[in-house]
Amino acid sequence: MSFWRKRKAVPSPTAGNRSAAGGILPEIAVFEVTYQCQHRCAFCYCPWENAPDWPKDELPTDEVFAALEILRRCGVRQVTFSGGEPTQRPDLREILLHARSLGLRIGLISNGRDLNAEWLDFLQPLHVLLSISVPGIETFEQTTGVPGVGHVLKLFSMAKERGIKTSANVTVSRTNLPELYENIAYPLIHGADYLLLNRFMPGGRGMQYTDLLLDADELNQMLETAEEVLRRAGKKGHVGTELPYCVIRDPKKFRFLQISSQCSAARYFCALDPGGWLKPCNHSPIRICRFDQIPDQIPAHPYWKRFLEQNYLPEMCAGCRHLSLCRGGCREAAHVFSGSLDSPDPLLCGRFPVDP
Amino acid sequence: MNEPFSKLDRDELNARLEGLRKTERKSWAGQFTAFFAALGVLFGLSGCREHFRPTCYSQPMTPEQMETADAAAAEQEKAAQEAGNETANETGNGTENTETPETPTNEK
Repeated sequence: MSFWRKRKAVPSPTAGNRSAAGGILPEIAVFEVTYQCQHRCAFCYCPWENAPDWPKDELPTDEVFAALEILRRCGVRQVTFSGGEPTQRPDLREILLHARSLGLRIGLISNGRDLNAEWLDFLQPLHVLLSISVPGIETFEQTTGVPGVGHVLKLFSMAKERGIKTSANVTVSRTNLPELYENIAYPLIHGADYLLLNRFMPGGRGMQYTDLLLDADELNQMLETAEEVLRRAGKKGHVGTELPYCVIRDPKKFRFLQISSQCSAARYFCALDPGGWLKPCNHSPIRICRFDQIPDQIPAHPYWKRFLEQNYLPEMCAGCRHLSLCRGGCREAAHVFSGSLDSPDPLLCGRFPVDP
Repeated sequence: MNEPFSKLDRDELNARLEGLRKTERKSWAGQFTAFFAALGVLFGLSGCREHFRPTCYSQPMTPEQMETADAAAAEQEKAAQEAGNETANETGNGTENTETPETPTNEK
């Protein structure tokens, strides 16, 4: 076994909550701190983008601080700030400083539009893990609705100069698949340290663009292209959303790109929306409870427990020989696309040939 | 906001990508990491730094997990095939085996 293939063993996928502190929440939380965003990405999964009646109840600063403190007490150790676009919050710097003062590791997922040298100088001493969205090079404007890929690429160089670790966050749809090689290569040669690769998932605004979803062949093309670029550069990456194992042609060939078929929602990470409502994952349209009710409601909440117990296997997957590795792909995407948690993954909705 | 950047053809891109790998290997930090990684392997430690993970939306499979699952699947198929042969022998020549192979249960 090569050096690169030897990795730390992943704990049993069925053992439930992964909080290092023995708390009731997993160790990582994604905090969507605002509904606001300057981009109009076709792939945006944010549930409020497809729900006109969704209350725009953003937490004020003091409640964001209170939410962070409760997350910390419940076992969270890393908070990744997202949105919308988190830099649209005028108090984001205060929020990041407060998170750091609580001893939390900080991630920031941004479209990069408002980031500049001053912002990077602020982020550097906080050891922020910065993930910048690059959903295309030539197709950047077509996907996001605004120009600006040159600025995003420059950000990777500027971050590298300051020693800030960055991840290129590439969401793949039929729009940018033809230029995926370039889409991954450009951020890397500009200084990105890592690749976070996502397939376009139905949900939010993306429900208007389901013709851009990848099929099984295109998904394999995505994986193989990413592996090839990463191998050339000697860099690593992972696929952010789980894939049904049966659609991956040759799972063992990927040495630089890590792939998962296990849903991590509620077990390894969770999400808090801009109104302070807990969700099993950022794709989830279900608000479970407000942050101040987490200690009372989470331990016995039936929807949360379905994720902890992985009680959501699609009927078509019953008896599959890959059950020890796979629970049928992304459960919340299936929920959004087909109406229930145990629906087939959108990749398996009858349109595509699979190897059972 | 619409800042220019150098556009490269595929050959130039590949050269730059390969340059990244070589630079990392040649750099003092790269050699330092490689040296201690090699020591880690020698002494049976993990041998690999944790991947940089700004988010953790999915829990990646390890090659070991894949190999274990493949071995289990192969054993299961072999057992099902043997069970099928036995059934065919018991029920007479040319009878198709319609028995459903035993499958692993959803472990919880």
